Amino acid sequence: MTDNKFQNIIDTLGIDTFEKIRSAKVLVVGAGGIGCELLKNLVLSGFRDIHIIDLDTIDLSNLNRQFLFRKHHIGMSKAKIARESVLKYCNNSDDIKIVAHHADIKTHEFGPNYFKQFNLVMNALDNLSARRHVNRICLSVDIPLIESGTAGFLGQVSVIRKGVTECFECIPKVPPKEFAVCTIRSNPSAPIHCIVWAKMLFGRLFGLADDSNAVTDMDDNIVEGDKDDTDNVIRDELLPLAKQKSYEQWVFHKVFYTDIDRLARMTELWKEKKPPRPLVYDELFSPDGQQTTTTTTTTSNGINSSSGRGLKDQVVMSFQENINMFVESIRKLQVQNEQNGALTWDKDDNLALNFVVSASNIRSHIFNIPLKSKFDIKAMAGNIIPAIATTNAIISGLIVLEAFKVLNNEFDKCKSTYLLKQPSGKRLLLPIDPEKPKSDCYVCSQNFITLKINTKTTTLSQLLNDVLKKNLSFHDPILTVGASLLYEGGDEDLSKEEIEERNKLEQKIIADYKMPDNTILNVEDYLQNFKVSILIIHCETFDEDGKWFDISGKQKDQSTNNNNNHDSNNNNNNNTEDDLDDLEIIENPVDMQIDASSDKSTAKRKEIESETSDSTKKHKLNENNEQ
Amino acid sequence: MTDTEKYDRQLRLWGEEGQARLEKSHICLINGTATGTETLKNLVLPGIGGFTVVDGNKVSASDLGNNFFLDKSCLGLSRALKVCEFLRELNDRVKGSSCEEDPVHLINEKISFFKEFDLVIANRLPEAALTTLSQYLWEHNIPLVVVVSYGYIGYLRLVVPEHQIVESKPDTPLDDLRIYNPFKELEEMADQLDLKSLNSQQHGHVPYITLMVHLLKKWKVDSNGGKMPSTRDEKESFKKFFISNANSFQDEENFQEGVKGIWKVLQPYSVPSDIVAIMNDPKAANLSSTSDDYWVMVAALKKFHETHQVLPLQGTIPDITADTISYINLQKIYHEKASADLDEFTSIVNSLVSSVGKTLIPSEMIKKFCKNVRFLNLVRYRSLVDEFTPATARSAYMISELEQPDSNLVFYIVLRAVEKFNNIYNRYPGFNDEEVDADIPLLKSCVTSLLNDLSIPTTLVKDDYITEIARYGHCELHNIASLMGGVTSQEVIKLITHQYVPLDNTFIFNGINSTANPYKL
Ligand SMILES: [Zn+2]
Repeated sequence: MTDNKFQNIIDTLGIDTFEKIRSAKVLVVGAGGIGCELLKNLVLSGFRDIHIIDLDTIDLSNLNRQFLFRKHHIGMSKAKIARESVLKYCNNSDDIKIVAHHADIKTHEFGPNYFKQFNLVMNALDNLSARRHVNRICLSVDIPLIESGTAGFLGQVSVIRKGVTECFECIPKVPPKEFAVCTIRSNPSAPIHCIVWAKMLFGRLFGLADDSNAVTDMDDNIVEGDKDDTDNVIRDELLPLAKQKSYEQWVFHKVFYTDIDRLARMTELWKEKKPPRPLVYDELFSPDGQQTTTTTTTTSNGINSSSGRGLKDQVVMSFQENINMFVESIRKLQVQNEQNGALTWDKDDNLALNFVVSASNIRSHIFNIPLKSKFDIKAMAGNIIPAIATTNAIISGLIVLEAFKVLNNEFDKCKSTYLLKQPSGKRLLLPIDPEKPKSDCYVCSQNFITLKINTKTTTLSQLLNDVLKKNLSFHDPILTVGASLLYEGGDEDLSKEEIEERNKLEQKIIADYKMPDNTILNVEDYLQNFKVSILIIHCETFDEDGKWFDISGKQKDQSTNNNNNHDSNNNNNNNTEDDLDDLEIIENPVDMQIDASSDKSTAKRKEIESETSDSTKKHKLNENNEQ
Repeated sequence: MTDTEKYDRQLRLWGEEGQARLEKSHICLINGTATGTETLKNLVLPGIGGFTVVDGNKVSASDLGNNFFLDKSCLGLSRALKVCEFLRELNDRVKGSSCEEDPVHLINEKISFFKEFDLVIANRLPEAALTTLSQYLWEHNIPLVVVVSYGYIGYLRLVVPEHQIVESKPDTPLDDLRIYNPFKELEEMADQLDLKSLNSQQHGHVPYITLMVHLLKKWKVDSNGGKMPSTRDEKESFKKFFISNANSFQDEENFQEGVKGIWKVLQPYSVPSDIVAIMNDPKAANLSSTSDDYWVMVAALKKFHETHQVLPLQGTIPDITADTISYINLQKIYHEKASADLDEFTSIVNSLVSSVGKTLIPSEMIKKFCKNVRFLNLVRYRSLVDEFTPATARSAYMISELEQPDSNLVFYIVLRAVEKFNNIYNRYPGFNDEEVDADIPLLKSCVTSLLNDLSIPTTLVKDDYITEIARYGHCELHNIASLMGGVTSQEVIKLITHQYVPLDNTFIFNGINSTANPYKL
């Protein structure tokens, strides 16, 4: 009786496939735009044993597409509400089992053993590190994975199967643009530089203490010279006075006067452009806190404020409005900080956004850079990717079609499908055969990479956090060289002394800690069930500003190259003398992203079928795409 | 005022103007099937102004199997009402209403009902009623979107006599730099350049645009009798000359940038052919007080072009290697030229407006038009009547398409035949499981008769496809319905916002191998 409503599916797919659907157990990772659509499609296609996991809560800006959520759900768990809504609509809930986890997929609870229970995993994620994580676990336990993503009108779906197809990490991901520290601190030339600076300042003022955040030192008032050279040092004596007046005046004076004055004195920086001009708080505000003059309004190429309905946020505020907003947001944030402790910057927190908008615009003004609207700054600071219901619907439909093939074990029929913005040539959807696993992929084929880094200055902590975790997406790496264990993470069983001991260890320079030039370091992650060998090469100069390490994959020699065997266990301790190739791997996926509002983003797109017009590309989407 | 926060992610695609158009639109859905409901869902979420569901059916058991929003408690109730109720829950800013009349009856008896809508989505209408409706909407210039999902197959057709697009938003718009034909101010700036006087730092930071304009002039005067390079040899020789002006080509990124785009730069300036076609359209030549703003502005564009031989300048330049001051100066020159062009263009528009007795066009609109002038677009669809009438059907085109291996157009033929079948037998092939086998030859004869009407060889449609479609028994699979709902709503958004270029005119989705093709039928 219950199967009756699936008669159409039985007629079209056949009873065999339908039986497989009925008995399949599947995992959906992510309950956002794709996740909601996918859950609906799965249930109405006859799937009845589904786990869904998402760590996120519902936000107002989700409601234009995540149709399982309503306004009164804001702040609640996406996974849990998605489950509730689907069951409510389906009414006959006893037939359908949905397990919802409001949790991070990258935790021990969801390790390889958890994954083993599923016939199929479907990713509906919005970030690179979770995608890599799921990819590694699925490979390790040999469970098929369907990977997907959307960005605006574009989307893609692909099937990943160990030994049969390319894995998620076979193709190096686009390195997001990173900015040199000196550009951010001393020599900004574009709005984004000031926005990055403002986010760092937010962290410095209101966030957790972080030694790597060198945006400013609040009590340092040296504007010329060195503190060790007491005779020639010039100090800003006004800073201590400002500090006594109020917090906001202190901050204002420090970042827009003292720091700027110091920079303006570095004449060699300003040979080609106008030096920055320090701002004096009292000239902008009379003693009672009222603004005195309406100083020059720097307009930019932003949207004209006179436009009819004029969305407030799309208008570029005047310089004075920015000043007012800056002071006001500091006052409020300071209160929040005192009440709630350290704050983390969130693009959807209006106050935090106001701070970054005003701080970055004031800095832009100082450096003769065009000001930006709140709307634009939000996109740049928050790495926002446009998202709509229509694209998610199309992509989720395609995922389910691939799921049918996977359950039927028809991997030869599986496709990678790209959704284009408008039909190009003769296609709107571009299905292509999946690529074979890349023989030099350090995740699914070779487990070997080369790391060039300055072994004489890099600390173990930097190696762990910036290289292994941030860049290579390890969750909890264990480091060994030869037979000796160098490092093991995890806090569970450690005493306070042991933790202190380890913190000390983390400050060691790697060359002094068994990792000099030409070391083979083995890194293992139990949670990901993943192991890789890293050849460390000492290197002191890098070709790009701000870059301090370089990671490359490693080509096996030609004879083994054709062998697409998926034997992934490390057989590589003996091939250290091979030539290096220039395979690029992501630089820093998490924080600073390319300007998402621009369609011509620097995303490296893999071309296919070069015979047609240049719009017929295989759009390798930005891996941080939102749904 | 829109809800900026809720709509943040989509405003980044179509902006406040696109959103305002969406919020003003009232859309009609004929038949609240799974496909229809999913289409409307994707339009209610981003906030259309309102919708009306027209459906004379009651909710049946098969609806529960494929329509997510309908459950057991809806059985036997009006489908229009229930679908409308559930869709309204999705967005409190959207007004929804339902009409429980049979749409065919409405079309035959009270077709003016449809006049009030900004767009009509038709689903599962018999061919005769569909034709009548399409003619009516055509006369009133209301877009019609026909969508069907049938088993694994999806079909979508857009119909509107004329669709104007100012913001087509191409993927990689190139800036209009006028290096080949510099305007006066740009040329003057380039004339002032004295490469020899620059130190090496400055030399490597002259914007390549200035370099190129300067060196092109120098080269043509000194070496080519005042003529621009036109042959391949001349272009090669200019390229060598350009490179020879670098102090150290390897180190000077500005020179490298110049060489990178040199072949494009040396193409004579020309107006894109589709823009020429739009300017030469009779509608631009015959303005009246009822002309659309679009055509008035196109007429003004034509005048502007006749005077200057170029289009108004957009005034944007790419991010290039340059020192800040030169870059800002260059930007300023382009910007000022663009606003001078805009002023002139605006005054042409205003004089045309007053000469034909129209109301003034808002300056924001003129500005937008001017900014997008190189990407204007115009789609004139073929009517369904032209498509359905054998004398005007594009048979030769269909034959060439059907001759391609695995052509998806074959499904178009079979689906048309399904409608013929329905017309004759008053039911759909394979609707009852017992009759599938008996229906196959009946459907085949419908295919044959359709192909004969269209003068298409019957061998071009293999029996397998007929069997496949008969086997689907007119059913909708939710997953395909949802996917087609996504595609359809996307095209509806393009039509309503007048941004991006919509499909022209038919789209077939084949879920068996996840392929999809547009066809111009
Ligand atoms: Zn791989």
